[in-house]
Amino acid sequence: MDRLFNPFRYIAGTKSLVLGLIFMVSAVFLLYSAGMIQDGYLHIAPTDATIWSILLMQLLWWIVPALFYYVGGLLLSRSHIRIVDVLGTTAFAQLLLIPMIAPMLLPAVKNGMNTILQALQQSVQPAMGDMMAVMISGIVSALFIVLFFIWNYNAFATSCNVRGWKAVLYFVVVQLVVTFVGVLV
Amino acid sequence: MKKNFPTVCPSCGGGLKVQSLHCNECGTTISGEYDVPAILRLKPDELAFVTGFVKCSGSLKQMASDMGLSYPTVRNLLDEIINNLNKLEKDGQTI
Repeated sequence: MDRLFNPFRYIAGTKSLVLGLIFMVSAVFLLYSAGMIQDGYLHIAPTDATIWSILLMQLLWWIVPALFYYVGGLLLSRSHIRIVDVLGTTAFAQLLLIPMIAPMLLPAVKNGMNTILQALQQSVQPAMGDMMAVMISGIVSALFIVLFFIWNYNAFATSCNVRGWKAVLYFVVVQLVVTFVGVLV
Repeated sequence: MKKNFPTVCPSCGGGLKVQSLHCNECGTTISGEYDVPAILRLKPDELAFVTGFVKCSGSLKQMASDMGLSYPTVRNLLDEIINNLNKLEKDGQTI
C-alpha cells in the first residue's frame, strides 16, 4: 500500500528522473497518435500541433510545478534538498498521465463522447452503451487524477522534507496557480 | 530474548538515570547517579540507523542502497534523528 501511495520512499533522484522522462515521452506519443495535446495542467484537447509542440507542453506542465516545489522546499525545509530529487520524483509521478489519458483515447469512449454530444445537440436521449463507456472511462481517469495529486504531494513532501499544514497549504496554492495559468494559456 | 534499554519511566514518563553499574566478572557494583547519554535515548530503530550510518562511513547513498529506500527518505530519517538529538540536548541531556 505504501508503494502505491508513496513510491518516493523507494525511488528518487536520477533513476526516477530517467524513468519519468520515459513516461512523459510515452504519454506524448499516446497524445500525438490520438491528435491530442495537454493544453492545461490536467486538461487535454484536440490539436493538429507537431509532436515537438506536444512534447514542449508536456515538459512545461511537469517542470513549472516542480520548480515551484523546489522553491517551496528552499523556503519551508531545514534539510539540504537536491533539485534532482524534486525533478526526479515529480517526473516519476507523470507515469499516472498514461492511465489517465489512455481510457479517453479508446475508440469506444471517443465514439461515445461524439454521439453523446450529437444527441445533446439534437435534444435526444443518448444511447445507454455510449453513456456507460464514457462514465467508466471518466471514473477510471478520476481515480488516477486523485492518485496523481497524492503522488505529487508525496513527491514534494519527500524530496523537500516538508510536512504539516504549511506544506499542504503551499501544495494547494501551487496546484491552484498552475491550474489558473493553464486556463490563461 | 533481546531486551530494550529503558530510557523513560513506565510510570510517569520521566527520563531514567543510571544508579548502579555491575561487573559480571568480579561482582563489583558502582553506585551513583549518571545521566544516560542522549544518543542512547533514541528509539531502537533510530539507534540502529545511527549504527548503520557510522558503519557505512556516513554515506547516505550507501545507506539508501542497503535499506532499499530512496536517498531523500534516508536523508529525512537522519534529519529527524538530528532533530531529536537537538531536542534531547536542549532538555539538558549529555551526548
